[in-house]
Amino acid sequence: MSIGKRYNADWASILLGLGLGLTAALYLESTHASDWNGVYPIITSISRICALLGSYLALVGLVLVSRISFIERSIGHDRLVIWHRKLGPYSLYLITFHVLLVSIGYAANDHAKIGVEIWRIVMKYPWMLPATVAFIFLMAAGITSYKKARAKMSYETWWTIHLYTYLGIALSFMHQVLTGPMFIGHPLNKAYWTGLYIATAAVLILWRFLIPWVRSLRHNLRVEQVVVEGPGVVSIIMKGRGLDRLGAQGGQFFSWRFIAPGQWWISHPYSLSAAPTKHHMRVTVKALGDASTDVINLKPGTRVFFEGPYGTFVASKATRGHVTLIGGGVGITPLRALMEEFDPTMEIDVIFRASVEEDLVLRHELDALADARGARVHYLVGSRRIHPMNAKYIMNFVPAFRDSDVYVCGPTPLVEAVREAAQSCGIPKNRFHDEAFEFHAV
Amino acid sequence: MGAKRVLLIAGGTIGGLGAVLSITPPQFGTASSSGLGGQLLGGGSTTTSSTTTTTATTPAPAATQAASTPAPAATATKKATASATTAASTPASAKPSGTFTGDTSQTRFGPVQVQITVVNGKITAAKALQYPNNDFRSQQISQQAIPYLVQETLAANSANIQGVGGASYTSQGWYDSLSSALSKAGM
Repeated sequence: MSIGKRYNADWASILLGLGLGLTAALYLESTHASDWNGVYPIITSISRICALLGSYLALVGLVLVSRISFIERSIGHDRLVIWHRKLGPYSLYLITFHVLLVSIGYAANDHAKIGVEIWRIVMKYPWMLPATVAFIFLMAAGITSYKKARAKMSYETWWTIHLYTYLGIALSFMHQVLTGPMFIGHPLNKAYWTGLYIATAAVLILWRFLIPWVRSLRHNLRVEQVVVEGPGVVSIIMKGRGLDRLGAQGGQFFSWRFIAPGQWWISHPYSLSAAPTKHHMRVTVKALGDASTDVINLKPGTRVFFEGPYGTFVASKATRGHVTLIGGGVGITPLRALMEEFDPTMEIDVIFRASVEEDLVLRHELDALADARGARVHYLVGSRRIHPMNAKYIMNFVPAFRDSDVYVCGPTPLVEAVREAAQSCGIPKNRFHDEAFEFHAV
Repeated sequence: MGAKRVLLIAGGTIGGLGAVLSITPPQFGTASSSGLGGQLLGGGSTTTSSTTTTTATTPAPAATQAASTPAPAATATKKATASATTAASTPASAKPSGTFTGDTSQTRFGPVQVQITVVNGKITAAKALQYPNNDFRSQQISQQAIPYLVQETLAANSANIQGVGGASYTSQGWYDSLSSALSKAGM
């Protein structure tokens, strides 16, 4: 990380803190002693603080994944996504507390039954019906992002539900400025808060829509060919101009949007399965979700919109003279692209795990690459029981495992097993590089 | 996230907070200078006598408000004079009669203005000409609270009212405006 890049991240941190400070000040400016002189006023007041902080964090969460180029470069897409995931739940907890506490506080203040009060608030207060819908959207996104729920649904379902958080955050805005005592009669507070929402919207429109569109059009990326690689696995070869200027490396991924009927509305994160050239990029895809099944039918000439490149799963992260690349199923694809990127002096061992022989996709390419540069590829076909990916078993094939840099990509259980194996050999974190499939999302 | 970045975030927070609060210090305590019986929202049990004491020690707010809103005050004075004349023409009773409009009291959520009808020194009717209704919550609170405030006013026949729990601002405004109406009536 260069000095300039760190500088950017530092400014972003200060700005984040400044916003938090202004949000707190906004509350302190408008609160009165009578907001704190009894149990129920205190409950109502706390609910408002929760609402302010929860909303602020929700906006920060949006900005974290808004693909602002200089922040992406200085902090790294993967870390931004991790922060987004860590922050998200807190935002939702705070907003949930707000909903609960304000219902209790208002009901007690009005001497009404809580159900009656909630009904009255939702039906009669301005913009409360949209705000209720917004709360449902946010909760749905939160629940479906919970690890266990996320594992049970397709990427498309999860993504679509997550998309509604934009709508949710927008819908919740009006009830805040129309009913919040920190905004009623406080034009400066209202102006600051409105500015915050407008700025967030502007950032999202610019970096998530306009810039990717302009870049996609400029590089004129289109599908050239779709090649079947194995059962349910296809490679999509795309052609464009000046692709070398994107600065993409093997091992990285893009978010792709194929402008074809039934597919244009959703983007998919796929890793490059070959090192990119000036005119070509290739991804190799398994039909994991609903829409990824349709990529088989993509017609040559289909326009492709992209965002990226993302990811730090790159050859330059290696610190030793030997690397062990471990791929599970279609997870071999970024490793295949990585193989081309390592220095010719690098010693390479590849372990390719698949449950059946047919899943060994790109096998001929791996063999050819291995021959060309003297790498070894170990194919392990069969169940997890036959091939337990522990340190001892890995060392049967790669005796120098403990002295190598480890790159692993595949289903989460495989990534976790290899992580454990690496830890048990004393391989430090900076020599362990992973790319779990589910990790690409957001 | 490194410790340094946490420090930067914390620094930004304190900076933003400090800057705003130093430019415009929060008006945290202003609304609590009340003639009403203390703990309204907490369901307070302050007695009438203590209310009277508080009223005696803080005569300032009503006066300030009268000065700051000269126009309605003038109208009220005219009415008051007229009714005072009526009162004077019936020397048998020195007790005032007529309709008296209090000064507008500005609260955090909007203005409150009280009009009372007095017959022989007895308040026979009270109503709110203005009350906080800018936002729905205020409307709801006002509509619930005002009937109680009217009742309390008629029962006390003075400004010695308890106020309504959950409607502290409306109650405070009512008290201020009622006090000014009563002083115009000479009560």
